[in-house]
Amino acid sequence: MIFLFTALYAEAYPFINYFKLKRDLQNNYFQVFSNDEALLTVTGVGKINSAIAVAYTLGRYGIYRDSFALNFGIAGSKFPQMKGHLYLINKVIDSETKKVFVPDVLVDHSFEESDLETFNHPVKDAYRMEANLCDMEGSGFYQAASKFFDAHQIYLLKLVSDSLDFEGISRDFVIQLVEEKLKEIDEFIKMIKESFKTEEVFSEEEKNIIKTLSDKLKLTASQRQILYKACLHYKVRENKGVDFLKGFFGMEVTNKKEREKAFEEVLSHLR
Amino acid sequence: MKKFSHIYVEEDVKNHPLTIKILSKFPKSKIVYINRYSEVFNRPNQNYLVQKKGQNLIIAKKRHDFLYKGSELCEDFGNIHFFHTSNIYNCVYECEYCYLQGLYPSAHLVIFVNMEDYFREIDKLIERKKIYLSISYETDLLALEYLTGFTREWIEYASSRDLLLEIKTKSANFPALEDLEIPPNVIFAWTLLPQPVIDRYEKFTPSLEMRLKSIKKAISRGLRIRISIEPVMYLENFEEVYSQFVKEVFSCIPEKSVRDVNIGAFRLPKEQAKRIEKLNEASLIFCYDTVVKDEVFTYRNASDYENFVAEEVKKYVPSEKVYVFNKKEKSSLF
Ligand code: SF4
Repeated sequence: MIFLFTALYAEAYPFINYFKLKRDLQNNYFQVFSNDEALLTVTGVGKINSAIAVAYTLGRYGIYRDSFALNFGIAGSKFPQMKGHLYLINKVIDSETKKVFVPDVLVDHSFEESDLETFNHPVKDAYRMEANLCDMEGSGFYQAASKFFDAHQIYLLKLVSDSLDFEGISRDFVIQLVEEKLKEIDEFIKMIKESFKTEEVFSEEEKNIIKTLSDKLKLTASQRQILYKACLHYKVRENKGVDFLKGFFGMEVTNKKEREKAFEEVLSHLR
Repeated sequence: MKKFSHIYVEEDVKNHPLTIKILSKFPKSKIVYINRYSEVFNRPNQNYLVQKKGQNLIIAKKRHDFLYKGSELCEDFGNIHFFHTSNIYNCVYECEYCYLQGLYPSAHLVIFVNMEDYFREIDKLIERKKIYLSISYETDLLALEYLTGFTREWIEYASSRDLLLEIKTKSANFPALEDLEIPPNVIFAWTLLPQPVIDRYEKFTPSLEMRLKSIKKAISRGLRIRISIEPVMYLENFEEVYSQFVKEVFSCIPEKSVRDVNIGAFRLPKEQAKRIEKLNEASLIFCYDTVVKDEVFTYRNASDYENFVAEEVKKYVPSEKVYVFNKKEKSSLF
């Protein structure tokens, strides 16, 4: 699952269309749109809003295996030549606290990279900027996301508009700007998904076998944990599946003594 | 040569000659300037294993804690104080049992370029104490010689100082030091394990054959080397594999060129083992019969494995030169 966060609806709109996301009408606090693979939250402008939205979204919807967070938005730049380009952010400076956050860029990607400075207000003068790009959400997003995600699961992509303070930028202009980059962003998302896929040791069937056996033998919580680890170690060490445990499904357990005996019997086959 | 997609450089050392030399080797890497290495290295929630696959480099300045005190050595060096130091955090090799993954928050490589400050600290210390200094403690220093030249600098430093210097390695890079006069107070220690163990547990390290070749180069220069057979890792056909291995090693290295042999089974402080298990519960290191004894995670039969290997070694090396891990040495190993 990819969690997308944009400050403005205009930034979100092209994604909603492209990924065919559906609005969550149950959510009264934020505009949230999702499908099976992506969930987008419109956070509102500013680092505090961004942080609140990240925390709320992840708290409410939960984090799935192999998911990651992406903050996308329009940014200003001190250099006119950066206009219209998309940047993957490799360093975020909070202009207020001067704290520095460094996303863990571990993937080979096709974007240019830049640093980003997050201000509490629109920036009018380039000389005030320490970084090459500026926005109003980055540091809040990163700090909140890093409570939930590993550092390599947090990304910021910034699209440089033609003005530093965003004055005079229309909704349609933003939509058009984002639409032009959607394909590239989609490629990037696919690549991230592929890069960090984790492999499961057990098949779904094996997981069911371990669970069923634990239920049938009425194992305590700690015994379940011991059985799970014994199965894991067996499978890794012997390079063999644990399907043979089905053979123990018929064991009758009516009291604690029988349970201990049956448990030991099963473990002895896994050692 | 290893590639780094990103190199993080502390502003304070961006003009240091070694920084410039390292950066010149990686023209394609993205350079990100930072204030302190901790901004990258100590971030919350880093995944050591994922980072190891895309390891990046941090170039930094060491500001304090240049040396760490270890336990007294069991070896008969008289009244000598054991210290270890690290110019580099983390390693380019990927040993599955490596304790660093349970120790550091990040797998990225940190190179502290300000050697001169290390030397200044040690100069102060050796005025007061006789020390034994292990310099390849939280990395394999010689493995990165092509990048840093640190081992060479340490050897040159030691040649005019009154201290004992130990360089522990799994690398086959001794030829990088071939032109150098190695003074008698520098001890090379090679970590050797059977090839099947290397295949299973020591990703990216040189083969046993390569390590032995490197050792041969060293002893051809008249060096007496230390051999570390650690961590002894259990595997099927343990006795056959290890006796064959010991035979191979000592058919290659004459006993007179062996200063001593250290043997120690796989051990980790309990807390580090827990952290590693959280990262990778399916690691092979957890899959054999293990226990936690005295806050240490190890094989239930650790002593048996050590004793078996020690007996094998003693067939080729006098027993007074064979040291088996014991509690007194524990903190020096960790
Ligand atoms: S060589 Fe040493 S420091 Fe490097 S990965 Fe292996 S155990 Fe760790």
